[in-house]
Amino acid sequence: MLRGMTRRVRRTAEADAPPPQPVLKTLRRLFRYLGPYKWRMAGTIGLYMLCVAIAQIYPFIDRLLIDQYIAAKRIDGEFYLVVLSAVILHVINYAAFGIRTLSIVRISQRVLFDLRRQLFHHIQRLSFNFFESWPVGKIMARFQSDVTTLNDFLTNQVASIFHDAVSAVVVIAFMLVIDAGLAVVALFTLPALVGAAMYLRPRMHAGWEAVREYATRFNIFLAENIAGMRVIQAFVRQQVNFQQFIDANHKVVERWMRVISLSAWLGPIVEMTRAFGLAAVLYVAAHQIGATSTLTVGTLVAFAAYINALWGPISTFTNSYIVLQATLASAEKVFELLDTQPAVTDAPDAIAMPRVKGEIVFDHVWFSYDGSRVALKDINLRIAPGQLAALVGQTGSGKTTIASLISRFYDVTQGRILIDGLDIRSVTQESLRRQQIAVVLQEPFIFTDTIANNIRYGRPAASMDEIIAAAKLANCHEFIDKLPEGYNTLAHERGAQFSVGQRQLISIARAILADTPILILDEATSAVDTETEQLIQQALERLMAGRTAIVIAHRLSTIRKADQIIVLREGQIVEIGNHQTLVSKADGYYARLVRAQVAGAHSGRT
Amino acid sequence: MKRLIGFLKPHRWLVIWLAFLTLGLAALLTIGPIVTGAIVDEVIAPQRFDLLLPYLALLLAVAALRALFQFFYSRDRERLGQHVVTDIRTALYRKLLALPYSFYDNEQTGRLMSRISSDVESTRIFLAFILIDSINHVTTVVVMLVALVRLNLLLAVVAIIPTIVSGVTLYLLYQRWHSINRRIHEQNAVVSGVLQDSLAGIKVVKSFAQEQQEEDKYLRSVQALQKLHIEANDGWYTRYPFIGAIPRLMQLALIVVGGIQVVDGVMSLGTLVASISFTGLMLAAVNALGTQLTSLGQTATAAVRIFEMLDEPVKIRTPDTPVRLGQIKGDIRFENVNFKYATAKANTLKNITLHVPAGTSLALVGATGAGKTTLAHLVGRFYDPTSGRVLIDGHDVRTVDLDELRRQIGIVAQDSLLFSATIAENIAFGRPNATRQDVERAAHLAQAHEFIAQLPEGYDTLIGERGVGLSGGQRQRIAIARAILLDPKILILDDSMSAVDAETERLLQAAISEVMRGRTTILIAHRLSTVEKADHIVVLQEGEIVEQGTSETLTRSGGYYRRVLELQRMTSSESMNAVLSQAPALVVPDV
Repeated sequence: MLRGMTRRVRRTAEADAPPPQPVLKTLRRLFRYLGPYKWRMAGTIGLYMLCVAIAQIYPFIDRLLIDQYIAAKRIDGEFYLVVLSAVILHVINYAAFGIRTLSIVRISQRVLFDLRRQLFHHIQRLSFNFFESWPVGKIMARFQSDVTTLNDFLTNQVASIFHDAVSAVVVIAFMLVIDAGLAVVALFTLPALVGAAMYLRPRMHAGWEAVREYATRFNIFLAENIAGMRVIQAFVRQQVNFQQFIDANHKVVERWMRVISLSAWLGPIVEMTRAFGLAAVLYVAAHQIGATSTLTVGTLVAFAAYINALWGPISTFTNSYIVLQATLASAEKVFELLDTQPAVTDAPDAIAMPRVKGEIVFDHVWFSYDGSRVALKDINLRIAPGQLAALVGQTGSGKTTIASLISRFYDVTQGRILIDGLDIRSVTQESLRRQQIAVVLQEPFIFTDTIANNIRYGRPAASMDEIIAAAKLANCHEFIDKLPEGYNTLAHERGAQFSVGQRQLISIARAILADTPILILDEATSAVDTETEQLIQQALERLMAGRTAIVIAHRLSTIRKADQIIVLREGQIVEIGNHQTLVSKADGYYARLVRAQVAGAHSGRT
Repeated sequence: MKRLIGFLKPHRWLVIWLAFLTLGLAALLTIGPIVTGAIVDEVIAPQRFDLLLPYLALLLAVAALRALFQFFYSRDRERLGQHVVTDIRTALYRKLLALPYSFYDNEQTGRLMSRISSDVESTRIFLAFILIDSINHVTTVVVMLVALVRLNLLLAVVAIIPTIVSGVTLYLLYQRWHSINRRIHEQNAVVSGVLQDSLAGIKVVKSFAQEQQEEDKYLRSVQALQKLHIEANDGWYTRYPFIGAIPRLMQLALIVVGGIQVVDGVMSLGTLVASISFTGLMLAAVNALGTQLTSLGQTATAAVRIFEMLDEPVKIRTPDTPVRLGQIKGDIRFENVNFKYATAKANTLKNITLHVPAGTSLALVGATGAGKTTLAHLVGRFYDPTSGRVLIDGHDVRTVDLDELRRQIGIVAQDSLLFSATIAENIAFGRPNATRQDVERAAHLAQAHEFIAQLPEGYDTLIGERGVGLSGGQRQRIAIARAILLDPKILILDDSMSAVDAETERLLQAAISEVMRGRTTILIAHRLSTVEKADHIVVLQEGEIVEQGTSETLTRSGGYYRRVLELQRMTSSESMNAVLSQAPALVVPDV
């Protein structure tokens, strides 16, 4: 157990290998996802810029209307013409707005789909050693939060950064065109705003990270408490846990308020710098209007509008650095996953394996999980078609490893494995696993799907009659038939509504229907009641009939029946033979163990 | 809705303070345009520069005051939100602690979690943001309107009509948008369910080489989600621009109408300038108000789910005037007990009458689903019988103090659930202030000390979510230690040795028979070797007692017990590899 732990930890460390990517490279790779949509994206950004430009003309027009017409007391056809053109501009603006939003959503959804598809496709093809070091929750997070972050960046953020940058430039340009001197005056408080924002933003970001961390802990606490509520009540721990709950919640709230007392400054700073900008403009303008009269009231109105239009983008712009950081972090995580290569791949000239008779040969097989510790040493064995082979040995002796190697979940380090004389590395994994081998696991996995689909899992095309026939052989037809919706009953998450024994029977039916010449079976150790156990035994015997079966055996009754018992110890075969021959070797390892067990059973046990 | 707002009641002063701040913010917002207008009319037009500086000072003072208000507003609004969240969460958690087992039989952890996290979150956003912000926006609209009416009635009329139109339309639009949003939410759950399934079941997927099937399944669900997203956005953005365009059109109308009035000399230029600013601010507020109405529906469903749970009746609780049990002797009696689970069709226990004298042991035997665990649960009153009585030392368990009763019962459940904490804390779960010696003694008795001592940090090793993983047998032994440490008068061992290897089981059995001395014990097991030494053995079949007696008499009588005994002898369900391993047989590396 502990050995397994350290092994896993080490492997994880190695899996993290790819060195940190340079920022530009990561970004370039990220933008490649926009590649298929580049023209559409360019068009959308074009529309964005159009909208920005039009919006900034508004104050310009207003100034014109006020100065040239209203102040000059000229309400004539020309005045209405200007108003009409303003209306037309506005209609164009909103049409462009509508189109660009429809378009960006489509791009965004497609990119998201591409990212998810690529990730899913990739992960499904990774080998077992990957899944041993990556917990499901961690992979799920890549699919959900990281992919969403990337998608958001590529579409909304890119567009909004463009939007903010372009509007800032356009606004400043307009201000300069209208009155360069006044523009400089208006902008003088801007550095203060930018400086304050640059100071606050990273601190807020760090603060939110802390909040997230504590919120995660709180959620874990809560999930565990809900799952363990029976134990809490049975041990009358309600008060202690309530206190823990209060503490955990308090930690989140406290961190949260810490960030808020930072971020609450942002609004006031925007407000103050804008007011100072406006006041400065008014002050200077008033004097200039008085002195030279080149300035007009319309200019003033336009400037007031521009200052408002500028402050918004600038204060969000200061956030883009953080957005970029978060994006890069997510991108690196996703790319790390995409760059993980499956350890087991099909040879370029791999052929589809024809249906085999089921002869399995291990030819001087050596295997190591991590490249340093040897898990299997020079394994040689031959299992004839139709034979039952039992693997016996301590935890960690290599039983599961041998079984996994036959399905080629890992590649041997040295030597070769032949099925019907074909090296399993010379055939496609799909033809090997789907058509030749069925696996029944110790802990059966039931998918959240109908029972019928669970049984036909290995052969999706199987008919209902075939499913029922398989279920009958597996002794599970009876209980399935009794369910309100029979074979169409939807299994809950992991088949939670079924007992362990029932799940085992379903997974046996699944293997029966797959109808493969080779069967790999991990006998269950957990106790089910004696009657269900009889049903399982019977179903297994029907399943094994006529197939080559490799059983990681726990029950003496199974072991006795095996044609070959392969006794393993620390990755080596120490004895091989049938029960009779092995027991008769007086000082053999197996014989000693059987004697120990029989003695144990006689001293007051069944 | 009224009840929802009730959550604000304990914090009414904070709410009043926030309302005051919003009013102040709205009022101050009107001063800006007035001052700008005044500068145009009273300073620039008549060339009175001596008035400029006071006006500018006023402008800055207003801004400073607004900044101050804004700071308090954004900070205290969050504070209110956090208070409310804490209150609701606490109420929910308290409820969870009180709800009986029957509640958890029908609920999944995930669903309950989403109530406490996402439902509470949307309630927080509603109460602290939407509601308070709405007050803010309504105040702004009203104040702006008043200001506008005072400035110029005609302009006010020009402004108010589009304001109402756009507000109402937005609300209607959002109603539609909300129903799609709920579908998106549901489809999201489907997508992550599919993903979770194919990742958790990757071994089966790969064993049957069904990667393509999984990919198709996943992509189908993602595509459905994508379609919904596009539908939602199309529905919104093909309509929204029509409303979004209104403010600017209104502004232009104002310029025309106001312009004519200025030319006619009815209104000053400064007033026009101020009016334009007012309408801009007002429309922004109306739009924001419309937007916020969206989440109303969402909040309503979230709130309903929260209240549903808060209203869940706690059927099992200590009566108002409980019988004082004191130290119990441990005499257990079942009198004509019938029990039916709420969702089951048939009774799980049928007319059980049984007496377990203090200090003796009772073994329950029978197939899965025969009612063994249910029977044991009734002793600690985790469920109430449908009819009949359960008596401890002659007291009906429904008349006694629940905590007092349960503290004297040690339970080792089937699944031996442990918590993310150190091993010592897990063992001391029922007695958090137990000394280290007590903990170690319990661990010794439960045959757990040896492997605990081998862990890198011994008893301080963290286990669970963030710590070391333990094997099934190791977890069971910690669960046994946890029950032993309670020093209970009644000990319930529910199939608690199924995952330990034969050698450990032998040691454990010896230790447990030591522990059982002087306690009433209820044993549930499949292996008859575990139960044969019990003082009394009861065989349950479909909720009924079909045989009872000692191992000897039952073997002689040739019923179910005898049959199972023979079956077990024959197949010898003893595990060969368990004998081989000193460590428990954990064969598959857990993926």
